[in-house]
Amino acid sequence: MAEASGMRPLRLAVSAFVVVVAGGLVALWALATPRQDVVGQAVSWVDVRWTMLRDWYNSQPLDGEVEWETAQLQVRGAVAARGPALMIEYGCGSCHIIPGVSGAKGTVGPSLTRFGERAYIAGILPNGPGTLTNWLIDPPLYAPETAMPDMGVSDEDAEDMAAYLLALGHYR
Amino acid sequence: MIDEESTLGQFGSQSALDAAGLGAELTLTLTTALHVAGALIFLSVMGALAWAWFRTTGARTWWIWAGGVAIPAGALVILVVGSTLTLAAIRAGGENATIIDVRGYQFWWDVTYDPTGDPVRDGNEIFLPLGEPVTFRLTSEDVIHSFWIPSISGKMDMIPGRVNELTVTANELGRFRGQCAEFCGLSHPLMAFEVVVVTPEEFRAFVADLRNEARDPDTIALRQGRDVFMNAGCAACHAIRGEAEGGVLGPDLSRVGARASLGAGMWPMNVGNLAGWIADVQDMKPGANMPSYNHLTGPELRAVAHYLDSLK
Amino acid sequence: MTDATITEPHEQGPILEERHPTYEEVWATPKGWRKLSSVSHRVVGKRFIVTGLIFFLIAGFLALLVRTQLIVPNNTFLDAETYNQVFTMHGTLMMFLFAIPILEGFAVYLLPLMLGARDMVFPRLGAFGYWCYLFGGIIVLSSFLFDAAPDGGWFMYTPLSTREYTEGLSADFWLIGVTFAEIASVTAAVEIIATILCTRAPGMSLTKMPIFGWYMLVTAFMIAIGFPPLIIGSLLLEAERVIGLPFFDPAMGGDPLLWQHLFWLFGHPEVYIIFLPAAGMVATMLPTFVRQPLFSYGFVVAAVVTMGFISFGLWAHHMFSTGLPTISLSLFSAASTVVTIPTGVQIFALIGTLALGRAQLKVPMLFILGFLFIFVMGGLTGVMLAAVPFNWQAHDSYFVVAHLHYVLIGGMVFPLIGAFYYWTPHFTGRMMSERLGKWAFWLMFSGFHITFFLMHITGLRGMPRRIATYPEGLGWDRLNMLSTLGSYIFAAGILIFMLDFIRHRWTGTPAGRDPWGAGTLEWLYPAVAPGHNFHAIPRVTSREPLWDDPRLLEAEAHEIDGSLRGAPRGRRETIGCHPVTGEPHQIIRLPHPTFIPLWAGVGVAVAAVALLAGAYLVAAAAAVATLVIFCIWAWEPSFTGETHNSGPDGVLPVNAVSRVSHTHVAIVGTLLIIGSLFASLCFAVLYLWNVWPSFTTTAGLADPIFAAAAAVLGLGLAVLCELGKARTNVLADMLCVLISLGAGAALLWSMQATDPLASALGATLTVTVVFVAIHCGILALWSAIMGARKLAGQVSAEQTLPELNRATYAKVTGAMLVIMALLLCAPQLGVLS
Repeated sequence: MAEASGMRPLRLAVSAFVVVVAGGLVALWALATPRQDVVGQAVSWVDVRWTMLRDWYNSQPLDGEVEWETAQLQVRGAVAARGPALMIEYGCGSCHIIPGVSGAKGTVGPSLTRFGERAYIAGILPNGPGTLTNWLIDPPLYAPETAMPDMGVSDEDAEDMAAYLLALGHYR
Repeated sequence: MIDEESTLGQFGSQSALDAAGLGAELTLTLTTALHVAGALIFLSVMGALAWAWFRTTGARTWWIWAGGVAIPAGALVILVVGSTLTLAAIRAGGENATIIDVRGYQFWWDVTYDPTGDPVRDGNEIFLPLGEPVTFRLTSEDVIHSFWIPSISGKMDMIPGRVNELTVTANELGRFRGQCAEFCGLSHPLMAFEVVVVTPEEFRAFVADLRNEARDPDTIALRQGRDVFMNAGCAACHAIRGEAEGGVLGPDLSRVGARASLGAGMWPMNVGNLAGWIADVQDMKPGANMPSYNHLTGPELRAVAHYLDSLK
Repeated sequence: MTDATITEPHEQGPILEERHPTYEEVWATPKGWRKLSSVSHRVVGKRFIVTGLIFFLIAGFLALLVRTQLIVPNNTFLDAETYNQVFTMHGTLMMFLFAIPILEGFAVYLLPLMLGARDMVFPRLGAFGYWCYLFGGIIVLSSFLFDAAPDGGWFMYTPLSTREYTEGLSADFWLIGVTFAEIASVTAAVEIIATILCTRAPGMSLTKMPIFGWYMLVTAFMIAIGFPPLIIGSLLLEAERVIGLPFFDPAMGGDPLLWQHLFWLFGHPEVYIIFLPAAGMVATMLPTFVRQPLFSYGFVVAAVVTMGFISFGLWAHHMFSTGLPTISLSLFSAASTVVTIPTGVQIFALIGTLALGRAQLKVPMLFILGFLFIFVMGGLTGVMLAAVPFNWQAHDSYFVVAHLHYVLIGGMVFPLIGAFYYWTPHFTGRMMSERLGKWAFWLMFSGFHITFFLMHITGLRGMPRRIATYPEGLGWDRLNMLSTLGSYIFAAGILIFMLDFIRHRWTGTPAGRDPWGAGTLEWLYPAVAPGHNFHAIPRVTSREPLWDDPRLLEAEAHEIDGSLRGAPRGRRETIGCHPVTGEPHQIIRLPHPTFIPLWAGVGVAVAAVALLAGAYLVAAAAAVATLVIFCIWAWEPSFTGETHNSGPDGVLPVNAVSRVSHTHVAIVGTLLIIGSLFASLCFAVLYLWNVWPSFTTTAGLADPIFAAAAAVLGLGLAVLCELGKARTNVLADMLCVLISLGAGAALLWSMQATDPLASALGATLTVTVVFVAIHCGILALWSAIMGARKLAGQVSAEQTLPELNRATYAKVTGAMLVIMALLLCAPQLGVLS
């Protein structure tokens, strides 16, 4: 007991230190403006690396064989991580439910949950990187009666959004 | 593709701590002073408490006179004087102000420039001339709303049957976000607007330009869109200068495509959001007075969305 | 802790019963389902407390739903409609069904014990109040079952809450349920005033009264004056919703701001009504832990009374952004800051008390320190909000949300939880756990600050309150997430408190007598509820009798000398004192258990539910039935004229005929409520007159002859009752019936030309006239009952207490008639045009 009570101030000091440091970091994180957001940037740096690592791992063939099902959904050179921000910008969420996109809860068009598992786009085009990118750029070209407008999406943006959508239901 | 960067997602665009107008700047100074004084008083009282906790010296009646009466009274006099001077400074200099009428509706804002001369309507986006006083005449057509642009000035309620005046001076170019601050029903959280501070010359050019007729549709597709707009009955509530000027129940759409945001400051303005909005308003903004136009065919919906997007 | 042997709680009752069989029998609480007939202040008080606690938990759960919705931007956890219902009900339950009733419960339970009374002075009224509160609360809460929960915010601003913008029954649930629960509050206020002023122990002058008594006295007066404006506002709004009377419609000469004035005339005092009882508890508990009397009692009393007055002059600081003229802004701004002075005095009195001795850091003390810390911060942000320019930025933003929770949770919830730790031994005979109490405190304290401190910043960063979702990236996301996490920590603290509260009932340490070593009279008996208070009421010579009078704790509690030992007449009785000196001047007969309050409560509840359901015939029938029940209630024999030996205080009359008798004090309290109701209506009339002078003529002019007749009859009524107050006379009663009916009828008749549906002013005048006419009707009914009792031979010549009370009531009714006549004839008189 004597030892335990001797340890008590030390334990108190350590806990106080931990609480102050953790509290300080959380306060920095909560109050920072985007320009001074050191903690937030550190967190997102780790998050981005972690996501890349996870995506890379998930797309690896487990038995040495190339997993064609996954591979054929890859959009070469696209940055899937840009997807959510782009889809907010183009207003996809006003018609579609899209997992991971803030405020995307529209019910005008179909939900895009697990979109990577979809066989057809809009019941017309076979789902895949190329067709999806083309579809996003100009839907009425493929489905003249569709309600989905041509939103003036650039090629690059379309690829990034396609990459994000195709990953839904696979490893996202 | 996005013409104007909206204030959506812009850190500090709706913050009283990022002051960009006379009222907000003066109030921010007052706020800082109040918080510093408040923190000092708080620490003193807690210090007195800690002292009393650890000592058993007995108490003196003068403590009450000092801590309970004299010091608070002194602080209050300073506070009242400071706050009254700030109030006077905020209210000063509104004599030759430009007048803009803003009427609150569930859940959008009807803006009228030059109401005393040649009135011209717009909605959900307000242009202000840099450095010049502007007096908003605020009222409401249904329930109580509150007009608040934190970066520019404090808030003022919009009350049916009354006209409240609020004079502001914007001191920084740029875009700021305003929002309804008085609970006004189902979509109260979705009732915001954008404020665009431009140079006085640009401001006058903007108002002059607003008087011109809306751009004529110059392609077949856009003309189809205009036909849908007319046939579907949109014009009963919405006005487009030069095309249909009767509708007053909804926002004026003469330059809708030029606005940075849709749905009273809630979504980026683009064809995608316009189409989703027209097809399912009641999902995007529950309780709005506009019905969901989900009886339009796909091509009709696209055409009208493109047409509205082209109105700049 | 004294040397008295600690026995298991359940063993003490039977022992006492053997020694004083009659007394135990007379004061016994009925067993089984008949317990519902109990009117004892202990039973009623505990019912209030437990019901309030249940509402607190429900409202707290709703708060967690709100916080969960706001944890991330654009959240879809709740849709906008549900969110609006949830935050509205959170505010409504917390303010109307938790804060006020639970504090009244503590007051009802503790006051008689502290003051040396055997019960509250009107036990049936207290029981009736409880049933009103319970049924009102159930009505409000049941709206969730019908998917019609109110969703207009707890202050129900018009025109959003009118039929046009809120269809369905949601607002009606709120208006009817809350008004119903408010009846409970105002009845309790009258009861508390009369109890504090008229039933203190012999020798307990006002200066020797425990400080809690002062706090509750001021609070009760504030309830009596502060609640009527909202009752009137709710009635007007409900009438606008159901009948279409256009009080708040600007197109018809109404004004939405009228509602805001009426609401905040109530709403601002309400905050102090919640704070003061809790502060009174703190001022009672803190000296116990310092072992020294409260420092500068006189200052505190003066501060509390001052606060009561000031609180009625600040309402407009909730309306700074409604476009008030600059002069009003400056005046209300200055007035709002003044309230810091009485608050500062109270805080420094507590600090001074701490300096008198070494305080023990028991759990209640911990909560008191938490109260001081949080409340001082909340008070300071409150003063900031009094600065108009700052208010324009902070008003209706999360800054205000933070401020109001600092004031209400700091000023009320922390003292309340402390009070639970302090007084629970008195309720159950067992102590709550010190260990769990500390856990509860630290979780609540840290969770509270994480949740609400950050909200100040969220608000200054521009986030308005009452928004179900917010867009991403405006600088609110992270602050909101932390606030939500903090609220879970706070809830964990409450959960631990609740677990302890339930656990201690079985496994808590038995408390014994005066477990905290307190000095006030409620700890005279061992900490267990024998079901009744004082076998004999001891003479009190100081504010802390248990500290200053050693014989009180040396003797066994039931053997202490005092007035009115036992119950020799087989009746419940207590000593009635002079309101100021505390010297006994009468014996007050108290009612025995009865079901009448329950039936009356059920009657009103049925009427309210029928009103909601639109079954107006049923509602009318229930109202008539309730009236009959009230008549039965009133029809009890008078004991005036009996005299009995009270022991040390000599021979005292039963129910003396006197201006300082408890019934007369209660009549004055009731008239205060009626006066405040009437004043609220007159305020509405004058306000509308001022806002829309042009509507004076379209409102329709009153017939001056009939109005004058009503005024003359009113004066005659007052003179008749005043002259006849010393004699029992059936003819005078009958004349009184006729004159009051005549006065009411004349007043109504004078309004023939006014169409209440055509203008707001006409509607308000009509309602005011009906209000006055109803009081004429009440006077007529009262006189009729008095006459009938005399004809039935139930009244002897010296039993003139009802006459005395009626004279006071008639004077006020007469005054209302005269004021009303002047108001109606004002346009003809050229006063207002």
